[in-house]
Amino acid sequence: MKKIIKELNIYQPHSARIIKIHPQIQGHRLFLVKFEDDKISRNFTYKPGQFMELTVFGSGEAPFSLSSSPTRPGIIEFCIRQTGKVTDSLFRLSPNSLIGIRGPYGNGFPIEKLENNDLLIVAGGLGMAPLRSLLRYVLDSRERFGEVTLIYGGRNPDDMLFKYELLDLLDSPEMNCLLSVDRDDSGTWPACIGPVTALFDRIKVEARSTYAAICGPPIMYKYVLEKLFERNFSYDRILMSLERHMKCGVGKCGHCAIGYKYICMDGPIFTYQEALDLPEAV
Amino acid sequence: MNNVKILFKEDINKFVQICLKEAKVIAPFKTTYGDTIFSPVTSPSEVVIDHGYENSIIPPKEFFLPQEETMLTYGRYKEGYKFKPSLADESKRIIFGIRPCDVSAILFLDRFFRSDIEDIYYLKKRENTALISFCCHEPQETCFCICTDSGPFLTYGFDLQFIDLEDRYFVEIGTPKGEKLIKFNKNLFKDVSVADEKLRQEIVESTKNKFKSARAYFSKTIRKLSEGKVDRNVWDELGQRCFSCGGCSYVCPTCSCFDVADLLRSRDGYSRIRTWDSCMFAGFTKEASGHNPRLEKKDRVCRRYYHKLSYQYVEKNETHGCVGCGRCIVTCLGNINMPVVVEKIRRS
Ligand SMILES: Cc1cc2nc3c(=O)[nH]c(=O)nc-3n(C[C@H](O)[C@H](O)[C@H](O)COP(=O)(O)OP(=O)(O)OC[C@H]3O[C@@H](n4cnc5c(N)ncnc54)[C@H](O)[C@@H]3O)c2cc1C
Ligand code: SF4
Ligand code: SF4
Ligand code: FES
Repeated sequence: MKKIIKELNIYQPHSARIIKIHPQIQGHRLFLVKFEDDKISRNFTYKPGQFMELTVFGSGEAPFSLSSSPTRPGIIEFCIRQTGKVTDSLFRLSPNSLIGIRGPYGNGFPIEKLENNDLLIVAGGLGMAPLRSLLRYVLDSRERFGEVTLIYGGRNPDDMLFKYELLDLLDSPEMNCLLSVDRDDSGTWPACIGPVTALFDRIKVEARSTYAAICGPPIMYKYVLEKLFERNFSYDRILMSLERHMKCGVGKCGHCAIGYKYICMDGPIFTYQEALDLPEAV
Repeated sequence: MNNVKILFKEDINKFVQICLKEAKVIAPFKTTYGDTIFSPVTSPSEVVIDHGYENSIIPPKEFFLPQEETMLTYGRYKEGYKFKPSLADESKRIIFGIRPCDVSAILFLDRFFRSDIEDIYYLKKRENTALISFCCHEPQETCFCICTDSGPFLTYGFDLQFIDLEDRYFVEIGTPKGEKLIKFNKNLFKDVSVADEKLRQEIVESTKNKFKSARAYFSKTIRKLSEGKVDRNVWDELGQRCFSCGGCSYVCPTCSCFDVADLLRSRDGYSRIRTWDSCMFAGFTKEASGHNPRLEKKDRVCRRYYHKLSYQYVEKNETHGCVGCGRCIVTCLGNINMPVVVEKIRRS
């Protein structure tokens, strides 16, 4: 038996403090979090698309995507939907509460590959959580990327995560921000109304020099992929974030296995080509 | 060739006594129900190695990945909450009388818990444990380690390997850890004669013919599984027979999936525990959205055998995930077990 290489306990969380909680849409909140230990906080960095394991004391641990960008170090952000045991208790916490946190885990978006390419970001529902990290990253290092387009749709304006932040980008010269809702009873929605698929007809993308990053509910993938194939996107220029039930986040518990890959280690970001090669994927 | 020695059977108890002085000894033990289990022992009389004992119901993986293990504890302090790692008891242990198939399974788990990110809970316990393996000359009806290349005689992996030569044991030393145990009592261990070597060889050869009932011919099955060419009906049929009890995973010495939960265990706080889990349970893959990628039993049976046998995993794990211990044959009420599944796929 060879010696253990690092005397490091991968399962040991660090203490972190909730700095602020921003209400988002119904049942969703944005948590701003900071490591208690300044040294850890200073040295902490990550990639858009990675996730962390959060502990709510007394309830347990669950994985959440990083919604903030490493270009703004110090405070990290999680956009979280209330769904069960851990998230219920998290929603009962107030600013200044302590939580546990470990990570970052997963591969994240292949930023180096994306550089100098155009970028088409397509989000649905909570898929905006990891994609907001990518969007911020790209806008903060604008000169390293080509044209940037965001397509994001919801049922109505009250369904849109990061609504005000994204509405601010509508007229931005930095990017092409396309937002759409199916219905708007309030009559105040300043962007498009109609099915999100219609937005695809309004964009010009050059498939050969563009990477598409998609994240959303399973049904969304189907129509988005169709639209991308219509435009001759090659399979390795389509990046998707896959979700699976996870426990450990570090490739040991077996829960997130899909085919012969572990989403927590080899993913959650896969090209469409890679996903096709996984026996159980789409 | 490994360093070799002879130990006369009349001296075996003395050797167990030495082991007991050196470390905590875990050995095959007969319960009052007549079952064989691995258990900590305190005297040589408790150890059953002599009458071709059957494979333990629960594999010795339980001493490295316990069915339930506390990973950390936490409680409220003046400054807030604090996590305290709960690392394993680091005292030295010897698993005495472990079977070659189970040694092979532990080597499999070693690679897994060491790969990519190290799992210190497993590795710490592993590092402090010596394996004294006893080869099998009377395989049980359910044994097929001969088909999985993981027994009944090993060439590496053990610290010491004992081969029964009627009135004496042929002892092979696999590692410095094993060597040390022998050094403590040099006069117990005698030199090996040419006749001993010859008898060892004869026993190794004759044992091969004693494997009868359980057989598994893997190569064609591995190919079909890896290339996704298994007839859907095979999984349908197996799925109908499965009770989703998880028994197959619990008793399998190479299965290692676990669940994690935080439980209120004492007045001063919570314990984060991990427990054995099984990919045969419906909840294993249920996602927050309610979506379940392996909702049906047939999908889960397929998953289990894909993990054990596909070429993709063989490449990752350096071998397939079955050591031929036969425990799934004994355990599964639905008669879904490695040899049966291999055969069904091969013929489909
Ligand atoms: C890589 C990744 C990134 C994620 N990012 C986000 C995010 O940014 N925002 C967000 O709101 N949610 C995210 N999730 C989902 C989030 O992890 C689950 O909502 C959370 O685990 C539910 O925990 P709970 O204790 O509140 O619910 P529970 O009471 O545990 O369960 C509610 C339901 O969720 C399922 N579930 C339980 N644990 C998990 C788990 N670990 N993974 C998936 N499903 C589970 C259960 O089977 C049950 O159906 C992400 C999940 C993954 C795998
Ligand atoms: S295959 Fe057999 S042992 Fe495994 S879960 Fe199904 S019924 Fe239980
Ligand atoms: S699959 Fe069955 S025979 Fe093979 S190692 Fe696991 S329990 Fe033993
Ligand atoms: S979450 Fe445990 S293996 Fe991926």
